[in-house]
Amino acid sequence: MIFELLTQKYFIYFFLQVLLFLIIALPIGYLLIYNQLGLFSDSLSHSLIPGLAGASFLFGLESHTLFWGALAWGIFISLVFSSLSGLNNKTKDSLMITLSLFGVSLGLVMNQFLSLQIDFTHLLFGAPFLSTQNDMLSSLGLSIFLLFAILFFWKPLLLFTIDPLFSKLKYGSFKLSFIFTLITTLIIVSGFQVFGVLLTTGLMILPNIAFPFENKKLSTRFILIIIITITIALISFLLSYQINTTFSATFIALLSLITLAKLYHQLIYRKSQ
Amino acid sequence: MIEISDLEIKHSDIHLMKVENLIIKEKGLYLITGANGIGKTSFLRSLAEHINTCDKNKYSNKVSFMSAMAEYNNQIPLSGHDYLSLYIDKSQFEVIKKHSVLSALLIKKISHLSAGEFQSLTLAAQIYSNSKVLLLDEPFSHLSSHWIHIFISELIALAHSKLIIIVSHQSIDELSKASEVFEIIDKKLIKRENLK
Repeated sequence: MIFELLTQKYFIYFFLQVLLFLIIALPIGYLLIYNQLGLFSDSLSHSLIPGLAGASFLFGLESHTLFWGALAWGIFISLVFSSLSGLNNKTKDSLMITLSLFGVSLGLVMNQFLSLQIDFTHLLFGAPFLSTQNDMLSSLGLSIFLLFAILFFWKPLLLFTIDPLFSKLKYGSFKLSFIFTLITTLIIVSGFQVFGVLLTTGLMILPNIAFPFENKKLSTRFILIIIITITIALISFLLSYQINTTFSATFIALLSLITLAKLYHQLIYRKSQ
Repeated sequence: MIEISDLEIKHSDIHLMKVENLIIKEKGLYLITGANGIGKTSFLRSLAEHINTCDKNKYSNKVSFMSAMAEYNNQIPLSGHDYLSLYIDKSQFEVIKKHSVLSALLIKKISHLSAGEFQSLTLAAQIYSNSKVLLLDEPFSHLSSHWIHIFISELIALAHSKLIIIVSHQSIDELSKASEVFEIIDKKLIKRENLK
């Protein structure tokens, strides 16, 4: 029975999408963590909600309108967030939280006021097993584009993380901040329909914290994390099927638990030193 | 020549000093000294912004700044070689490989380096970068006297082709003799020969 489940088309499409998403999301998630911007992707994803509501109001509640709405609003949000690059960390953090909360609440208000009937459960948890071959192809296209963008800008983005002042003088503060924010936004846009806001952010950040592999080369590290995360996704799938729960929520709960256990172990280890 | 006038130096919105009139040559070695907390680093940062924007054709993307060591994120698992390749061209590695100690650092992980080793790697990254202007904030911290001597010799030689401005609280005769020395006293930047 398990074999039958795992050989279903929807299951194979979904796991290919997880794989594609992890390949582009893990390196950027890694840089977000080292820039102490772990919650940044969360803020970005929440800020996209008014864009989705606007697109749905103007062009109807269709999968492709939501995508284009998120994309257009995402570019606008990237410009707004990049313009914060000159601010100090405290002000930047406060503004990001405010914009994130404003995004969620404005989206909800628009949804109710304009009777848009956007399903917020879908936005939060996605529809992982409703992926079609077309979804796969558009995901593949965007993922390949983002992969090239990440490879092309990898050195400047890494320098931005290691030595912000040097990179600011070499590449310009706004330019680099915008590229970083835009790539992060596009990754979220590429993932939110399938994985939902929670799983998109979760897949970018949690595996990087839970499985640090600090002594490995970055490329080896990402490959190992992908293998482990795919395994956890598989376990979560079987578990959610068994106990009849939403897959995304089960997956994120499991990943979060592993991450918490890792952080707790790290804390105990430091105290014993 | 780089002309600076009425450059206000601030740190977290606190006014530290104002540089009313200063002319810096395009090539040469300058040393800025002064007591702790007087505004040396803030001055260097403001100078970086000023030079980077004063003549965009000449200096844009050609100014490099070496921060005091605490500001670096060296926890990323990169080798010394990968770290240096973020700053310098491949051709420069041949020069670095001639220094046996620096060469040995290329294969080590930067997170495993001692403070002094990381400082030498960071300083090498600046020296061998293709920047026209090097602004170095406390570049000799954590370095042994042997390495300070090696790097100062490199910097003196480099000053014939680049502008190098060093902020340091350390008093190093070899460096002072080869540089134009300025000191920050009472919120003013004063040339050493004018100090009485």
